[in-house]
Amino acid sequence: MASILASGEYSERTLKLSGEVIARNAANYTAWQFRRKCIEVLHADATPEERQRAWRDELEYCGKRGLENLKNYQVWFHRRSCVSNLGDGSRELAFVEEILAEDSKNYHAWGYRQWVLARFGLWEGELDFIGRLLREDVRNNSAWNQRYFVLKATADLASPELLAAEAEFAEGHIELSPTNPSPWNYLRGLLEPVGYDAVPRVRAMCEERAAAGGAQPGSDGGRVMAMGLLVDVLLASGSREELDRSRALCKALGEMDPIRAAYWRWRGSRIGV
Amino acid sequence: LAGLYTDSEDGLPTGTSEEQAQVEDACQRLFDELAGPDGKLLRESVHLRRSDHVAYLHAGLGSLGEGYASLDASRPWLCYWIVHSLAILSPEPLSPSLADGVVGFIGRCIDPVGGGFCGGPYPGQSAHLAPTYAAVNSLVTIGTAEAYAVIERAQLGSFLLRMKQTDGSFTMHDDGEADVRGAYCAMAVATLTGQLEARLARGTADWLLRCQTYEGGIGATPGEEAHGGYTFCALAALVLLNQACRLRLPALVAWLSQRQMAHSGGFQGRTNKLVDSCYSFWQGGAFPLVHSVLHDLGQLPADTDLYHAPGLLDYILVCAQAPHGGLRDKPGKARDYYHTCYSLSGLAVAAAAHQLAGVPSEWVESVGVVNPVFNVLNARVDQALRHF
Repeated sequence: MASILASGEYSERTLKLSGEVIARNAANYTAWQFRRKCIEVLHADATPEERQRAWRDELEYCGKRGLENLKNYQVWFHRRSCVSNLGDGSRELAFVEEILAEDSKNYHAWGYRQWVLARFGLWEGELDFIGRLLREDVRNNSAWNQRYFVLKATADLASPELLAAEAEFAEGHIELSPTNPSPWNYLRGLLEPVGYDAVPRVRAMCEERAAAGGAQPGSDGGRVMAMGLLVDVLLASGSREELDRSRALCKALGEMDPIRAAYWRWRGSRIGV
Repeated sequence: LAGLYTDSEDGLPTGTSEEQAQVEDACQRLFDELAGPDGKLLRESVHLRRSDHVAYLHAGLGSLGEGYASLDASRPWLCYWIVHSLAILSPEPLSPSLADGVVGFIGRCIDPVGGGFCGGPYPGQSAHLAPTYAAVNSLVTIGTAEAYAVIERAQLGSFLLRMKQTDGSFTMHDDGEADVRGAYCAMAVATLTGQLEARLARGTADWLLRCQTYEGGIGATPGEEAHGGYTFCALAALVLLNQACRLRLPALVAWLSQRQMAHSGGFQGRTNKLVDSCYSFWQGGAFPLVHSVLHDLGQLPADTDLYHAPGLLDYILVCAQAPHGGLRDKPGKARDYYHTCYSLSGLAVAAAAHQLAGVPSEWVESVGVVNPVFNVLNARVDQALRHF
């Protein structure tokens, strides 16, 4: 790269050479940056069609490197540049879906997908996509995060109808695997800003699960998760009795969830302060 | 480790739970090998294999094999991972010849035109905030006059400013991606070299705060999933900007606490992902930061940890130490310098915790005292702040 950069030559030849550098190390951000500059320079006086063709070719090159290097910042950023220059994100959701089929929690893939959705307004169908992923694995927290992202961008997170529907969605998934933290975190994230009394059945569900009914060998039936959320629900209500209960729950959690004993002790100490 | 299951299969196995079970089995085998007659881990029989790690680290300062080609654009990182790890493990400074070698190499990575440090010698590579952070941290760790002399303050400052975007974020390099790492690298380097000024800081805290998710942790950019690496970066940057109190702190602490694995004591990076020793620092190191913010707000007594330091130490010493030196992500993975650095950094953080009942003093004595904001030895940070 040193001699290429020193020469200041932006040509088909140096574009090809940069590919060789990338083949040796796909994380060479200098080489990727050089490629983008090269394509800009080479097609500065080209027709729009020619420029489109060049970026499409580059996108194809990028796609191949992407499949070989799933966890590489440079490939994903380069893709973003190509697609921005093309002004066309229509095939990108399918590409990301392909990557997620290999690695359903790939952080770069999800971040890129969020960029595509927002940039091109391709929201329709995304909740269905998330639903498919959750059917494959209810514990895919990236999918849960995506659900929040979509709703935040397209819906009113304070609407009672939406909150009730989402609470039901989360509860349905808690039913499937009560110890799975994802839907519990989702519930908390949705309701904490608006108040848990927006959806009273959530408290009822927590009370039920916190009462030790659902434990089975190897699983506590979601008891610790429910007690944890109940602490927050009771805290929000603020009555003396409920604060006392909240404190008692923290004490119990300190014993049932010992890796977090210090945290529960501190939480209990902060109640009513 | 004792404790009820806080997550399990619940009769519905999925990819996540299956992988989790596999890792728990692998860790449990190691814990069992070291168990006493009561079935619990016999900590006294577990040793920090200091000299093995030091040998592995010194070997890394020589030449690295073909397997490291993928880090060819991260060579200052390799310097930092190694010199910082050595600083944690051994009280003596780096030998003058090794120090000169590292300082000399880092000097060749400077971009003399635009400022900043590159992933490898200039002009083959261009300046980037991550190797800049790693380079400055390496030089501060070495802490000699020659090391400090490598840093051309004004040029470095102008590189940082050039990376700054109108929305408050920082791109990692010219025509590069912007995420919370950029803000952290810029704030850390600016602070250490005494040039964190208004122009550099403007709007950055506001942008960082947008990255806190509904889960309470922080993602790479607004909307992305809460993740340990990015949570540390954002939190440390906000601490440097003196605006960490603007975070939703109860949610952040709850999320951080939930990331410690009940079974193995180590940390996962995200909800429902696997334990990884590097999060010993990214997640574990976030705790002293959050402790100090809460303490300043009068919400946390001085002698309190909000995580389980003995549990974290158990994971690092039993599961992360590799047989012939170096540390690894988890049992079954190969050692590498990145995981060695961040496991040892987590060890240093945990060694400074308040509640260390049952932890052998051998595990924590003569472990370097690390400043968790920069992840550099405290004494070297102080020295640098005085110098610049």
